[in-house]
Amino acid sequence: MENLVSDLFNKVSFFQQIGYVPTAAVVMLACGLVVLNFFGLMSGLYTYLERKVAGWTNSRRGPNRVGPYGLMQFMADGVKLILKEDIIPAAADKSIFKFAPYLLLLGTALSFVVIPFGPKWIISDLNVGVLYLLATGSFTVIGLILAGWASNNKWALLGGMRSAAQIVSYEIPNALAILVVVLSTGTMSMQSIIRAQAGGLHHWYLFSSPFSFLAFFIYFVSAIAEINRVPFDIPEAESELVAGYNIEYSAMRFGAFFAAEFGNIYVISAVAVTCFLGGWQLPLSVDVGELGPIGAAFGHFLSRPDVLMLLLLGAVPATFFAWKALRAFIWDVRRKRNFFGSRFVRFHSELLVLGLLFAAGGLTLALHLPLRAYLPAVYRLIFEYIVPFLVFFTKAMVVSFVVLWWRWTLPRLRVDQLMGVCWKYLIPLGFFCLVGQGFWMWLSS
Amino acid sequence: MPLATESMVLNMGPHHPSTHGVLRFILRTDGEVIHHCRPDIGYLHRGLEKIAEKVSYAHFMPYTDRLDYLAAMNCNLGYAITVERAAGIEVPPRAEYIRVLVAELNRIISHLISVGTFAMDMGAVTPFTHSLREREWVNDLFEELCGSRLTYNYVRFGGVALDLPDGFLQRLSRFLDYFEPRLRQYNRFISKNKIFKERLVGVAVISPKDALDYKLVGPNLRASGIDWDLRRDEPYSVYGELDFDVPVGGGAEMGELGDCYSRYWIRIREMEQSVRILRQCMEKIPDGSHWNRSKKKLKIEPGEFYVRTEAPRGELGFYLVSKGGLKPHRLKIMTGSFSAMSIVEKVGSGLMVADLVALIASLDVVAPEVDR
Amino acid sequence: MQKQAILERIKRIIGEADLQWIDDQPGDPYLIVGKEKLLRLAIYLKGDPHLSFDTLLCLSGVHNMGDEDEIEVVYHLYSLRHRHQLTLKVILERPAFFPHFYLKIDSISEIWPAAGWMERETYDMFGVHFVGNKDFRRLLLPPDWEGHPLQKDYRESPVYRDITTTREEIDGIVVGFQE
Repeated sequence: MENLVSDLFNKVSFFQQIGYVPTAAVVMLACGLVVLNFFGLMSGLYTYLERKVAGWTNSRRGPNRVGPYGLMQFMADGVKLILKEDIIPAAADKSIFKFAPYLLLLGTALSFVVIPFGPKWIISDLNVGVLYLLATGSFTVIGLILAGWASNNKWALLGGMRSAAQIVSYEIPNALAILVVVLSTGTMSMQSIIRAQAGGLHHWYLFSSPFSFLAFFIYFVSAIAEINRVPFDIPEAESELVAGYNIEYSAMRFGAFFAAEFGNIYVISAVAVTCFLGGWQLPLSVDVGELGPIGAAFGHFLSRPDVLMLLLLGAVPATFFAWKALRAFIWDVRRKRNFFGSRFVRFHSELLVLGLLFAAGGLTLALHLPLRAYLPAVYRLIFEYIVPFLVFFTKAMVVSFVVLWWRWTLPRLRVDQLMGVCWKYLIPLGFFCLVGQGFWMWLSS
Repeated sequence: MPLATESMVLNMGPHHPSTHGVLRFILRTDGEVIHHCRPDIGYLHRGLEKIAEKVSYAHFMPYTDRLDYLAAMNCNLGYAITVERAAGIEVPPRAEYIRVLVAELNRIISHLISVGTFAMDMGAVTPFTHSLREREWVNDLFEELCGSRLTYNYVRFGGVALDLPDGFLQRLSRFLDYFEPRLRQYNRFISKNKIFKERLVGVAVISPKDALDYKLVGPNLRASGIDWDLRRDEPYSVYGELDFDVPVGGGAEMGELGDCYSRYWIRIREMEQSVRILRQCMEKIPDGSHWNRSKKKLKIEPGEFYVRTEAPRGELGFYLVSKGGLKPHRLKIMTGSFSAMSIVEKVGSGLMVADLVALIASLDVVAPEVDR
Repeated sequence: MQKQAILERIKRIIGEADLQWIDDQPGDPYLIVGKEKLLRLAIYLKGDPHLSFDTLLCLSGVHNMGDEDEIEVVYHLYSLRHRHQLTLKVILERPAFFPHFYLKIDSISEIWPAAGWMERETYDMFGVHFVGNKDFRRLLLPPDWEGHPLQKDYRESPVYRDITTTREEIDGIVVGFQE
């Protein structure tokens, strides 16, 4: 954002006339709008995705009525929530009751400030980015406990107390796991953490050392606990506390809780991607320019650790998808279906999407050199903005998918077991990783 | 100044997601730990016993469907056997086999619901929808058989209302072929799940003595290690001719004796045994009449009968007092859920709120059966 | 043990007075016990190793309004160890005046805890008081309900807490709720 302000101020005469501070204000406002909308859209899409994932695991369809593939369902739900009556219990602490969901929303929305979308796309690359994220994450607990308290309902109170105990405890392993990364990079800025993982798959912190490998799972588990998802959803445990802290909420205030919850999924996935999965970097550090003649390239290519790792990791899903595609294809050929009536198209749209992705990738690679030579602006747009964003987004979606998948698969822990997992396992393991990573760095230096 | 704490009274139910119907518990808790748990029932009391005194014997049959809507066939069967024993009605062999067939099918789907809702109360939603998917298949079979999917009203005094439709046994066999591997899938999916076991093993243990004292019946009694099954030990209908095992709590794959997990696991094992019984029934079922139908109005000589049958939720006892005439003088219905609810107060105290949910789910209490 | 052997043993333990063995009608035979003897008999029935009736299958009431107005309390006992069954019956008379004074019987909930709720239900439905039940309230009906529905002469009160309990009928068809 700072670059954008100075760029505009220096290059556009209109902004020079109105002065630096108003320029900054305009840019801030615009960025805020973009982020809030992105946040709203993301949480909306997550509600859709969650239902679809629920449908897949529960052997049912999920939303498929509003819009194509039911994609507009979240819009309809939003409209419904806005139009519904906002009921405030007579005995509730009214001002706190009204305020609490927005506090939650605020915490989540603030996190988006330091989440990168590409090498150039970030609202503000704070030099204390990670610390800032941990701080905004704690807004959640205040919101939840206020909501639980202000509802004047014992179930809500229990939910609020549970969430306070849970989130405060799980912040420790969460921070410890991120500290492992901070220790290795020596910086807390999100972009610098990503840049430190440049050079391919084997430089990502997930794979670079056994300790940061462990730290990733500590982070993932404790982050899921921090956003109250299954198997750690005890603050809103439906079968125990009815709905937990949000039991008395209705209409858009209730919607705000959910927007925050789903927005949080993106936040934790984005942080996981940033800190452990190489951010917006491609798994292969392909510099096509150095490839040279293709024959020579292949020998060079296969000897690289990132390529080998990618092949190894990709073998399982690739086999799976190939097997699915083959079966669908045989099914179609046997029944002589045309293209649009084929099972391949109707039931395996993910295969088509994958195919399109591969085609787009191949096309960009082929156009890589001519673009750089003749259309540098388009080249920069594609390779500095669009591709990194897609890469980041895809990685975040993969991580979020796991979050949603767990939600519909695992049972829930009991309160004391939840605390046991945190204090007896995750925190000692976190410290072990921290010390181990230091040792590893000392060994490898 | 020392901190003063006081216990909190929590009202759980009657509209609570995990009270399966309308049960209510008044909990006195210290934070999450329950000091005292007092069940409050009667929200589904429909006066079935009073109705029984007002209508004729045959007219009461549809009401037994509503006794336990998840196992309507078994309730039909229990009532029919009571009246048959009182009136001395003979049942043709084909009808006996059809009865056992539908009763065991209904036991399977009742246990499926039990297992599914159990998993849902523990926070796992997916097993519930999967078990409902299997149940749909059986519901379709029942619909084919008697026209309804939940309250069947299928068993008659002296037989069953309708004979098996053409191809029913083949479709049943297809279901069983599909269902048996599914059961193993459930085990992989939820029974062996680490979190699920952590939540249940050693929780809310009911000792064999308590189980007897409070008259737990059926799977709950067997989970406490008491080897007792009416189908085997006092066989009614054709159960004497069939070969099946009675799973009992305790042993390597169970949890602690009488805990929530063994109550869960007993139900899974019972479904396997029901499949065995069904396969034998399909082989042995003879041809012949399906209903020894009498045109006369049913009159029962003065006498008293207490007849027990093994429903999915344990023994279902009908105490029939006749003074002669077309209506029962008194019909007392003793159900498994009733005694299961009465033990909650003793076992529930000292648990956590989340464990109480597990306890209720593991006892497989169905509210209409408690209140009648 | 056979029924007769059980009967012999009971007679040997608590004497023959106040016991009446009824087996002249179809169905289960039963033993009528005087209400003063019930508690003593119950303790023996559970504790005696040859009888050891460990399970109380069913506890219920029956209201007879024939020649004499009486309420029977029926106990179905079962021994899982010896696999034998026994039906006990205590007959309480129900005079027209002060019936609750006569409808009293010792509670056996200390001996078979399962009886606790069954006794409460019997009280709820028949108005029999069980002396010694520690948590003696109505079970199924609300605490302020009037009357005991399974008594044969029970008439429900037309209004309960301003809610009507009856419906208006014209030519045998229910047309709506009464005011």
